[in-house]
Amino acid sequence: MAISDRPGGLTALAVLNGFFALASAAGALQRLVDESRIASYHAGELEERRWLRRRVEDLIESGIDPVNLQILGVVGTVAALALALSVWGLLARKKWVGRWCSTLGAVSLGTVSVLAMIWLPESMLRGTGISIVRQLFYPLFMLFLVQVIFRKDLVR
Amino acid sequence: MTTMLRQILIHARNSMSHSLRSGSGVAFIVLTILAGLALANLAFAPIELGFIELEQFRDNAAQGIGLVLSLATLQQGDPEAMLGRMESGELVEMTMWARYLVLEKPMLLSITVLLLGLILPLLLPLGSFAAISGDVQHRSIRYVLPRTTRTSLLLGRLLGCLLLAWILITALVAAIVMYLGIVLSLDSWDALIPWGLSCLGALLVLSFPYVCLGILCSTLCRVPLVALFASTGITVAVPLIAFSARAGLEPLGKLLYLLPWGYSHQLLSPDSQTVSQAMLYCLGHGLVFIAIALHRFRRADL
Repeated sequence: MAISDRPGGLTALAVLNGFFALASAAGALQRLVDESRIASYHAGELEERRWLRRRVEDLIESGIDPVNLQILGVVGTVAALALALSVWGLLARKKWVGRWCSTLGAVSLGTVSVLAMIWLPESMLRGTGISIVRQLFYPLFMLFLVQVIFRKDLVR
Repeated sequence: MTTMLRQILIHARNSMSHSLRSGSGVAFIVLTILAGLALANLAFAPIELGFIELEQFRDNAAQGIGLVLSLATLQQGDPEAMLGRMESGELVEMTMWARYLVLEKPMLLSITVLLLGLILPLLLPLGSFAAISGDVQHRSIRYVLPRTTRTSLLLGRLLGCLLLAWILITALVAAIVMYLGIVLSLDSWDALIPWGLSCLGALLVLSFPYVCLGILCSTLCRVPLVALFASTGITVAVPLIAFSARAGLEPLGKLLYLLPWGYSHQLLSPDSQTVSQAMLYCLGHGLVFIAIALHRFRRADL
């Protein structure tokens, strides 16, 4: 059996990126679905399920702009795709797919967190300011790892 | 002696740089920071999101902390009746201690540090479990030992693990204090900074015996995963066994003192003499663990 010379940290980073890709995809999907429901509500096409209608009405009452939800959904999807691709890139020690997809994923994740803090009402954020700090920690740490610590390992 | 010190420092530096490249090191850093901030979020959320009034939260926190302190100090009597005894004015010392942490000091910082004191012992083994066992498992230790002594290698790895843990804890406490001072502004900087430094000192001292325990398990077990399970398992099992055994026979509760669980909360005591004693116990505990590890490692067939 061949022994891999890949640092254990890259494997751990790949696993964490996979986890964050799933979390980011779920958040992005939720925002895109919310945006489409708001559009359906305005067009009078929303189904008659009461809890769904109430949720959409709450969203509209909070004054949220559907365009902002769309942007958050798209940036979140970019983050999820970049992170998912980076899993393979990190495991195979690829320069572009590993290092630069991780960087794109980290920047997109950070952007989503900051934009969500600015645009979304408190009722949708479901957390305090320190949870935003927590969300920003992983992208910054990932940037540090791929651009400084593992810079020379991701060269293929 | 100077050569040994230089070797220890080299091993510490290598251990720290290796930690950033190893899977366990990355997992340790991410989990410690995320768990620490999650605990802070748990403490801040009721106030920040307006679920509860500040005064009501303060009263509830004083009661809760008093109850936890009563349990941790192994007060005699039925644990379920503690709250009633506190309200009737029986456990005055615990009530005063809780009120000191909640009323005289920045409440949210005290609560967060108490929670960190419960969670950090479970996370710290992640940073030290592979310090020796990782090299033993891959037999790479055979290439290191001809150039150094076993004592310097063990002490250097211990220092490296300790420094990494201390940097993380310092970053965590600094982030929490800055957040409390800038965003929440419930307490002034004059109150936050001295108490933040005291809390930081308490957590740094508390981390010492648990990192030493991780190193001890890493020396005793040849497989890193077994070392991780052993150190985490012992950390969790000691309070569980102590409290279960105490239900049967009161003196068996003293088993809690096998690890710093029995006195770690005294690091936040209002009495400075009690704090100094708790610090000495922590250092003593750590030194015992590291002495056993050294004894075992120097005689091990590698």
